[in-house]
Amino acid sequence: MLNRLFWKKREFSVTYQFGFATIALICFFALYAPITTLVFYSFNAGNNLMLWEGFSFHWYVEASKNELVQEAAMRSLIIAVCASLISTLVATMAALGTTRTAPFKGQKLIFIMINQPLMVPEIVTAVALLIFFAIIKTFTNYYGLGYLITAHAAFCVPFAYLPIKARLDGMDLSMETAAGDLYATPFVVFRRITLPLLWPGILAGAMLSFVISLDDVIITEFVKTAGQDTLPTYMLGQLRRVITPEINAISSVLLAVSLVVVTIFFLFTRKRY
Amino acid sequence: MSKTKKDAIAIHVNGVGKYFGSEPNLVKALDNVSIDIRRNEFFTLLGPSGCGKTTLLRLIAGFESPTFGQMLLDNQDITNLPPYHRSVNTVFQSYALFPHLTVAENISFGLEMLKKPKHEISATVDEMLALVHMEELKHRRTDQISGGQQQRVALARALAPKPDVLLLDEPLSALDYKLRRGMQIELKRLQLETGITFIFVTHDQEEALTMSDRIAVMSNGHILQVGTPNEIYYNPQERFVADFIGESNFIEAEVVSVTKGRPATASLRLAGTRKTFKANMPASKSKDKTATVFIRPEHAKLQKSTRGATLTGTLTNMLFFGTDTNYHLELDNGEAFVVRSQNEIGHAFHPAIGDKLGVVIDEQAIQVLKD
Ligand SMILES: Nc1ncnc2c1ncn2[C@@H]1O[C@H](COP(=O)(O)OP(=O)(O)OP(=O)(O)O)[C@@H](O)[C@H]1O
Ligand SMILES: [Mg+2]
Repeated sequence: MLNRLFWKKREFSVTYQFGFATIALICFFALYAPITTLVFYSFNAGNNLMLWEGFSFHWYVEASKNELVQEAAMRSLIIAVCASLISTLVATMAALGTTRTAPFKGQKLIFIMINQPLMVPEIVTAVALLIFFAIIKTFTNYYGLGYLITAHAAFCVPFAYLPIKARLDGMDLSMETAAGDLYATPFVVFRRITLPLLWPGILAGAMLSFVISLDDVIITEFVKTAGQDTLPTYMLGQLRRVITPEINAISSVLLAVSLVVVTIFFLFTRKRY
Repeated sequence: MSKTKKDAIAIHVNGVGKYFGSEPNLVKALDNVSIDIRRNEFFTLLGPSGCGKTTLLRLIAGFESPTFGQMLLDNQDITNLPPYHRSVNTVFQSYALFPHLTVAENISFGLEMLKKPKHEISATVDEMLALVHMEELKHRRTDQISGGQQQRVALARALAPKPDVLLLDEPLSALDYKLRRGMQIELKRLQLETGITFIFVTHDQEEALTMSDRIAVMSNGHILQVGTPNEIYYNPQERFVADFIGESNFIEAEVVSVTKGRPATASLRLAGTRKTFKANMPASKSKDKTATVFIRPEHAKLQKSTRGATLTGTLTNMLFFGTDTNYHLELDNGEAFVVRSQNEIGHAFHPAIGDKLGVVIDEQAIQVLKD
C-alpha cells in the first residue's frame, strides 16, 4: 500500500498531487492510533490506563474470570446471532420483493421505509422502543431477552438489506430467465440459481448485522431490563466507576471478533461471479 | 416424415403486439405481427437493431406476455403458458450462462430439470460438447472461458433438451469467420437431422440468405415481408426490404399506362428516358402517376456506347471487390446508379472515370415497389 503511494510514479494518478500522501497518512493515523493505543495498554501489567508497567495478559485473565463479563459476553453473542439471523432472513425477502418482482406502485416507498431506520436518530428509536416494550411488558409480564433480540433484529434489517439488494441489482435477471427457459419452475430457479448467486450478499448482510448488533449501546441501554447487560453496556457501566485496563482487554477482544468476522467474509466472497 | 407433418404449423403468431411503458413514453416494440412458422423450418428474423426481433423471440419463449394477440405452438394456445411448460429453448443474445456452474453443468441443467436418467444426461452432455468442440473445457467455470466459447456453451445448453422449437438470438455473432462458417453448417445439419424448428435472429444478411428456408424482414415492430431467400432477394415488395438486403438501385419512373389484370401490369418510363418497359404493378399503386422501381446492380450491364442503352450516365467511381467491380454512375437526370459486373480474365472493357457509358437493363430485372 505505502509502496504504491510512494514508488509508482510513472503513470498519472491523483496520488501524486501535492500533499496527498501526507493527508492519507494523517487519516490513517487518526483512525488507527487510538485503537493501537487501546490494544497496547490492554497488555499493561499495572492497573493504570496511561502508565506502562510491563507486558502481561493479566487483564485478559481478569476479564475472563469476571462472571459479569462472561454473562454479558454470552448475552451479546446470543442476541447478535439471533438478531442477525432474523434480520438477514427478513432483509433477503425484502430485497427479493423489491428487485425480483414486476415493478409495482409504492416500490420506492417500501425501499425508503426499509432504509429509514438508518436516518432516524438512534436515540429516537431507543426511546420509542422503550415506551413500546414497556406497554407490552405490563400486559404480558414477559421480561426475557426477546425484547433485545427483537429490537436488534429490527435495526439490523437495513444493514443486512443493503448488501443483499446491491448483489441482486448487480445480478442479471437473464440467468433466472434462462433457467426458466430450461424447464426450472420458479422455486427451483430460486434454489438452483438465485440463492447460490445471492449467497455472498446474504453472508455480507448477516456479518454486517452481526457486528452492528454486537456493538450496539444506545438501544440496548434503553431496552434492557435490570441484569441484561451486553458487553458494550457493561463496559459503559464500568467506565462510570473505576477504569482499569480490563476495559481495554474486553475492547480488544471485541475488535478481534470483528476482524475475524470481516476476514471470514472476505474469504467467503473472494470467489467472484 | 410425411408431407403433411412437415408442412404443419409449429408456431402460429396471430395479431400479436407488445408495448412497453405508457404514454408519453410508449414503445411499440411489436405492433400487430402475424406469422406462421412451419415445423422443422429454418426461419430467420432479419432486421436492423431495435426492430423487435428479440422481443418476438421473448414472446415465443414466454418470458413476456403480449399486450394483445395470440400464439399457438402445435395448435395449442401458449399465449399465457409459463416458459418452463413450453418445449422451446433459447440461445440468448447475452448468453446468460450460469456463472456458478461448469460448462458441463450448464449443459446438463435442462436435462436435469426434465428428470432424464443419469446415464442419458451424461451421454447427451458429451454429445453436445463434441458438437460445439468444447470437450477440453468441460469442467471450466463459464466465467473463465472466452466470449466465443461462452456462445458455443449457450448453444449446447439450449440444444441438449431437444426442444420442439429452438430460438437463436444472434448465436454466432461472437465467433470468428472460420468458426462461424463451421457452426453455420453444423446448425443447418442439426436442424435437418433433429427435426427441431429453428427461429434464428441475425443482422448478417448473407448468413440469413444462405441458411434460411424462409426469412421475415422486420422494421419498427412490423413484419414487412416473409419469403424464401430467393423471393426476398429478387422480389422485395418494399423499398426497405430491397435496401436492407443486398445492394439496390432505386429510380423514379413515370407510369404511362396501367393494364388491369392479376397482377396488373404497367408501362413505365425510366428516369426521363423515352423507351417504355412493362412491369408488374402492385395493386396499391395502380392509380399513381409515378413509381419507384428497383434494380439490382448485378442485373444491369455496362456498355461502352450509349446507343441502344436503357440509361446513360457518367462514370464517377469504381470499387474493386475481387470477383466483382462496382461501377458508380451519375445518370443524365442526376440520379445515382450502380452496376455490378463480374471481373473476367482478359476483359477488354476498361472504362475510366469521367467516361460516358450506357447501361442495359433487361425488362425482367425491373420491379415496381409498393412504396
Ligand atoms: N423492457 C423494455 N422496456 C422498454 N422498451 C423495450 C424493452 N425491451 C425492448 N424495448 C424496446 O423495444 C424495441 C425492440 O427491442 P428488441 O430488443 O426486440 O430489438 P432487436 O430487434 O432485438 O434489436 P438488436 O438487433 O439490437 O438486438 C427497442 O426499441 C427497444 O428499445
Ligand atoms: Mg436483440
